[in-house]
Amino acid sequence: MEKRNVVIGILSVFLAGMAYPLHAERLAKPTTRPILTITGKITHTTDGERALFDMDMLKALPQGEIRTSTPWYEGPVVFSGPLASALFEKVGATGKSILAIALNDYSVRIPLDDFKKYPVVFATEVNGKRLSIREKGPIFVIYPFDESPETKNETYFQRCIWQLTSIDVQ
Amino acid sequence: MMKFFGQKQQWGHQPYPRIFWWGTIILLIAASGLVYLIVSSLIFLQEKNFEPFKANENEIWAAYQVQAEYLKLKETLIVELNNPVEWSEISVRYEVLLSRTDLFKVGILHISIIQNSEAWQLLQQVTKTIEGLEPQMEQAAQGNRRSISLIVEKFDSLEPKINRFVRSVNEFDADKLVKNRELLKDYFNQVKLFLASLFIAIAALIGLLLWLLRLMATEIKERKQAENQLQQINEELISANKELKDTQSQLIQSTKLASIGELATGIAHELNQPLTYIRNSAQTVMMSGVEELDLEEVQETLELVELGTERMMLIINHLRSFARQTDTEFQSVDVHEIIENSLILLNEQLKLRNIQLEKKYSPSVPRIEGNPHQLEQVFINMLSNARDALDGKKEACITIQTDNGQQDNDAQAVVVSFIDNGCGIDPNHLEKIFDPFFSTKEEGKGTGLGLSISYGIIQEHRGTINVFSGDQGTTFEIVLPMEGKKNSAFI
Repeated sequence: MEKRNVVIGILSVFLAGMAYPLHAERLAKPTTRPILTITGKITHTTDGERALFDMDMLKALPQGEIRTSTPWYEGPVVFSGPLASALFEKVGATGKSILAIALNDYSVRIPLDDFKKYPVVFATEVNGKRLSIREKGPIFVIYPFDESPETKNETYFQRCIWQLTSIDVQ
Repeated sequence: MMKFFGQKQQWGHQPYPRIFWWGTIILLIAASGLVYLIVSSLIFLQEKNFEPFKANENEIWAAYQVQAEYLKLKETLIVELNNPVEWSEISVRYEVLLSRTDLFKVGILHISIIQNSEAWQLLQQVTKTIEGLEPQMEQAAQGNRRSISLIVEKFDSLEPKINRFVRSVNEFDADKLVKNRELLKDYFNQVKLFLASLFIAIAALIGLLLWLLRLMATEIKERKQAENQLQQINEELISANKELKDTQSQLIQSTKLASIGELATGIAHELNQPLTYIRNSAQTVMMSGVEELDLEEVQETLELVELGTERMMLIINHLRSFARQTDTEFQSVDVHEIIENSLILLNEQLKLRNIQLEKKYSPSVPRIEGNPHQLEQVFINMLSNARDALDGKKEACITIQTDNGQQDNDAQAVVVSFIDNGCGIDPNHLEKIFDPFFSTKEEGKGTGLGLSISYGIIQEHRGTINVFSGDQGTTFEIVLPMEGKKNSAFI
């Protein structure tokens, strides 16, 4: 009887260890007003549940730059900001897709594969100038349309959510 | 053949079974239905992306977004008035609201909103007021409660305007929606009209094609009929020709017999002469007593008798073979032999009438392909004509001449000429001498067929007869090709 309890106890501890993310890591707390909140299937969080990013934290991530024409600007412009792939690596995203939500509660689903296939940028700047909320900031998801013309269609335009404020990894 | 033709005719009356026509009609209706279905589906799909609808949808959505963001900002302000938070949401919501009003300043939304002047003016007033609140907004975001309550107060007067703006956009767009629906309906009607005319055109085209096919079938049938008729006519012609040919050979035989009749006097003479020797010899022997018979004399007499009977037999045999219905086959013949044969029956007559006969046979004349009996008939005819032309003439003479010659087509030929020094042929008659039943001889003396038949015979030998006639006499020149025809086309 006792022996059995011990076995169960050991197993429980082992299983609990398996269930807990192996590389679970605490992210630094944002020092200024957070602009992006990531929830869902992520291993690295700020408070065990959400990963919060302020502008400085986003700037500290590996940056990408895309010069492309878009339906929202006249002529080609340069978008820059953290690479989507770097951001989701940072939070240890394990899901298949994300639900990106804008400040006006508009949401769109994006497959995580997109960020492996294309150097998608979570643009915070356009032509070197920070995007204000009024200018579709603080984050504007941008695909390299000119570089990968197969993305120049309604499906990918829909995924380019602006005023991005939170993400749920699913 | 006739049965097959009969079937064809039936086919011509009803080229296709009734089911074919019904099948075609049903197929056409089904095809047009399918086309209509496809096109209307395409239009339906198109409608979803119909540009005016899309713009409308965007416009109403954007107007609603302005209202929604305004309400969110107001709520945030009221919440924070009572419960200050660590990071104020006020400036975020304020900027989102402004980004929403900004959307109407550019692009398709701008083009759309300026058509509705009421909504555009309201929006401009609202935007101006909101933009004017920026300093207070900054203070409010930093937790200045006085600024917050000031903004909330301002917002109370703003709210009816925003509501009116949204209503205006909705109402205007509803009108536009109706108009667009009308537009789409017109478009649909046009498409329907187009499809209907397309269907009619296709139906007409197919009808035309079927009609042409039918026409072609009829024409083919008619052509077949015509061909058949032609063939029938041809067959009739061939049989008529054969009949004619038969008649001609009968005619040849008849004229041959007729010429024998004409020759009868001559032949009688011919036979009379040897008969006279025989009779004389017999009488001489009879009148002399048996004792007086000189054996040598008897021997001589019998030799004469034998000679006479031999000559008679020759004449009679030849007469028999000449009169016999002869076949029409060609063989290798010697013209000189044929001339001599024809003279057997005529020799005595010419002598009786004191007509000199001169033979100018060329030894180099080759044998030719021909029918000996028919050629003999021609030669007898030529000689008889010459004999008649020399009737009563002093120093009358007939020359028979043979030569090597050429035909008009340069083929090697044998030329047999019968030349008399008689009265010649009247130039007016010259053209008609070969016509059947043309004769200048008195009734009962000629058939009028001699030259006509001769002409036919020589033609069958692919030869020609030339006539030269003048005061000095007449020359009939018969040109016979060395290689006569092997087989007649009509036999």
